[in-house]
Amino acid sequence: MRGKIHVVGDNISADHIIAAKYINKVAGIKEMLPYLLEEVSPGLAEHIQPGDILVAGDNFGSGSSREHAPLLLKESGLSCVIAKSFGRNFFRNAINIGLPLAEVQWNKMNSGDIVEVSFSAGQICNKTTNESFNFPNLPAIMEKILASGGLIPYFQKHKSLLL
Amino acid sequence: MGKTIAEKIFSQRSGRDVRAGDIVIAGVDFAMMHDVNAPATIAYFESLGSELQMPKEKVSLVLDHFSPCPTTIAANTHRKLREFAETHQLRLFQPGDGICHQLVIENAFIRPGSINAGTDSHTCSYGAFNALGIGIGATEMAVVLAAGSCWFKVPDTVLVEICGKLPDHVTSKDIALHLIKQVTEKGAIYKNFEFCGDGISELSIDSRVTLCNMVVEMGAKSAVMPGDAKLAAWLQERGITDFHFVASDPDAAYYSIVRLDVSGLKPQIAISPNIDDVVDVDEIAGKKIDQVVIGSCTNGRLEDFAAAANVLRGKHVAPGVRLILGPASRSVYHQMITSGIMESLLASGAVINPPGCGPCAGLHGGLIGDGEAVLSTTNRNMRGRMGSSKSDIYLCSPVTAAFSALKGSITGPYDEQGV
Repeated sequence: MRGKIHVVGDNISADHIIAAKYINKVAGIKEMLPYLLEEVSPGLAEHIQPGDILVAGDNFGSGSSREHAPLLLKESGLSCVIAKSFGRNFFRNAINIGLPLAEVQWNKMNSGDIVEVSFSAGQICNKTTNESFNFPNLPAIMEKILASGGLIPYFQKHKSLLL
Repeated sequence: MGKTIAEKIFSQRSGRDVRAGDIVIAGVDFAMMHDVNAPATIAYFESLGSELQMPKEKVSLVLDHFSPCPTTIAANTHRKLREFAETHQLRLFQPGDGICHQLVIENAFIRPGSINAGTDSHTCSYGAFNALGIGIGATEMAVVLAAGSCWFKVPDTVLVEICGKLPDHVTSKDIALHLIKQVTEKGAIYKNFEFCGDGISELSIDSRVTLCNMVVEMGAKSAVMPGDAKLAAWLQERGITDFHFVASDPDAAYYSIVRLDVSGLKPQIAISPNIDDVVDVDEIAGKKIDQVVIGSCTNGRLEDFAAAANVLRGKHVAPGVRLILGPASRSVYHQMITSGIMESLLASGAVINPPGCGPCAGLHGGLIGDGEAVLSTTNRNMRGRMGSSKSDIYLCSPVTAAFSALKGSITGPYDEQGV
């Protein structure tokens, strides 16, 4: 995938991505878009074009187990999320709903840069700065889940968990 | 080389000899889902067209975040969940019964050595029972229902040795906040916390729940407390005798070791808006507050309200302070009434919410407005969590909350002379 990046900082929790207070106050995920990352980057959803990539620092998606967080990021049009480290629940939830993630020790990335991500090669390449960074493969079961498009399609196909 | 408690539990429940870093499939001994995440779970489960593989008695559905419903959307969500529970004959807790974790604990669903999953990040609370409580997402839970098991990565363990007896007015919530300050909010991603030491033996089971509850705020997967005489007595009082404690081996390998002597610990405050920006209460004493919240899965138990009532008895909260109480269950609520604590707190000016999550996540039951500050015994203080984006959330123990409600500003304990 290749896209324009939006860079955010460290310790952005699942609550920062979408606050719990909107649940059952607005009808669904689409209606939550205006509140995406509202305490970090208000109105961000309006600036995301399909195929853009979010780049975050450490501990992205920490805390809450709510899937609304990765679902909303996917709904906004982002193709994937890159971060230096992820909250464990968010990491699993994102793969389960089919949002690709790359855990990468990146530096010198700025909003507006164009970045290419190759999951097969395990590498991201900032086309604006010409810097590349490698990242490790997902555990095998997560690669299989993501390849199926998420945990539900994976389980529908296999009818059981296969390591 | 020996094993940590987590390595032993995952080995026992997967039937394999595993270590930190291994990926396993293990049976889930108890599954809890609540009204924020269950709607997606039941939709995905139904789309799978699978039979329910989790034994019915090992599943609970809890309506606690919207208790009772503050919006029609929530009410319609609850209708769907009730229908699902009825169709599959699953145990359902209604609005007003209590917060999911408190109900799971009170009903003694958790056994030493078990693996328990919940669609809530504070499922780690169940570690107090020498077991693993792991938070999972709605999609994951649909597959747990359909498969009766889940895949897990065996976590590394951070050993936390607590020694010393807590001073008066200092609680396990203060230990939790102090630990979060040491480790930081990104300091324990994916780790299991294993607690030990004479300082733990001193803590009540309820206090151990509070400490386990907070580990997720450091990025942890789970926490586990030792199986000791106090836990054995707790289980036996509830007619549970068929349990086996799991202890780590003396030569187990830990990711890191933290040693805390709590004999000199002061009451702690987590400063808005960061959970690990924790200071001794004296460093922020005098900060004016508009609302005080005592409750939630973190600190909504009888001992929490008893401690608050001991401070507030015969006195009234300061003018301009709203004191909101959230008993974590109907049972806690009832015990507050029969013990006289409820009457005492009402006389002190408290507002009593129905049992449920309410204001903790800004859902209902006492949100805060622009420019306001709330001092709360809940577990998260990121900007806007409990209402307005232009507000501040400070976290503390029920004792600190009570003293501060009397004063109208954040304060540590003080006696009649104001010392």
